[in-house]
Amino acid sequence: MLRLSCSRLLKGSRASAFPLRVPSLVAQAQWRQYSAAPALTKDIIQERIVELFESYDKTAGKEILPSSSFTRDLGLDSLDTVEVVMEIENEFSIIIPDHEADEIKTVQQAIDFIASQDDAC
Amino acid sequence: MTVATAFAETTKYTLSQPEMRIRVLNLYRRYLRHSRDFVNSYDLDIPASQVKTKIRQEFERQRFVKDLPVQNVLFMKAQMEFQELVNFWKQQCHVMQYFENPHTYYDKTKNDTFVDKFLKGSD
Repeated sequence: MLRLSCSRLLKGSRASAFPLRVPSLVAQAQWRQYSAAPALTKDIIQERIVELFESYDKTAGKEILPSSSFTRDLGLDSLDTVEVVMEIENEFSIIIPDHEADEIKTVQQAIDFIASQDDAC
Repeated sequence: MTVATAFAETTKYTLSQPEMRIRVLNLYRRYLRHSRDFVNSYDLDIPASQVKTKIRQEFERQRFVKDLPVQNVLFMKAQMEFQELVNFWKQQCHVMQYFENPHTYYDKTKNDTFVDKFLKGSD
């Protein structure tokens, strides 16, 4: 019974305070939202990943295209691939599970994977 | 108070090279993921990148082992090391054994005799 009354209380207070009810005549520009992160498009992801590769010693001078494979085109071995995927995880603040990290073998696969995560930022 | 079974892995004998390869890469990934935790919990005064380089060096040390039973034993030992490090069962001195003593490279007194080295406490 206590739980029911609590939930009713919460529902009541929530309905009035959130979402914020503003009169429609107020200009939209006066309300700034600092909490929204910029949208993560594939171009931005690609740019950041290419930058990451350029800062890595073993791939610094090489040409990094979306179709380049880690082992064949960029000359990385399997331990290097693990390191690179770990750095991508740190860059986008996500954790990639083991079985999916094993599948990422080209730059395009990395871009597609990150684009499919909604919590990548 | 750590749980004794945290990060424990049942010892498994792999019978094929590809499966061994996947397990080794996953273990390497786990080591890398927790390298920052090692630096923080053991108060190592070195950057996490140096820890990652040392992890890579230790894995490279065993790169050319082709014998599968030997690989299995090495993997077991590496998994045990990982569990000990991540559960804070070791101490800072044990972790620092992996890294060279910086003072050994700057000793210019040329103490070459046995007694001199003994007194200096060389390792």
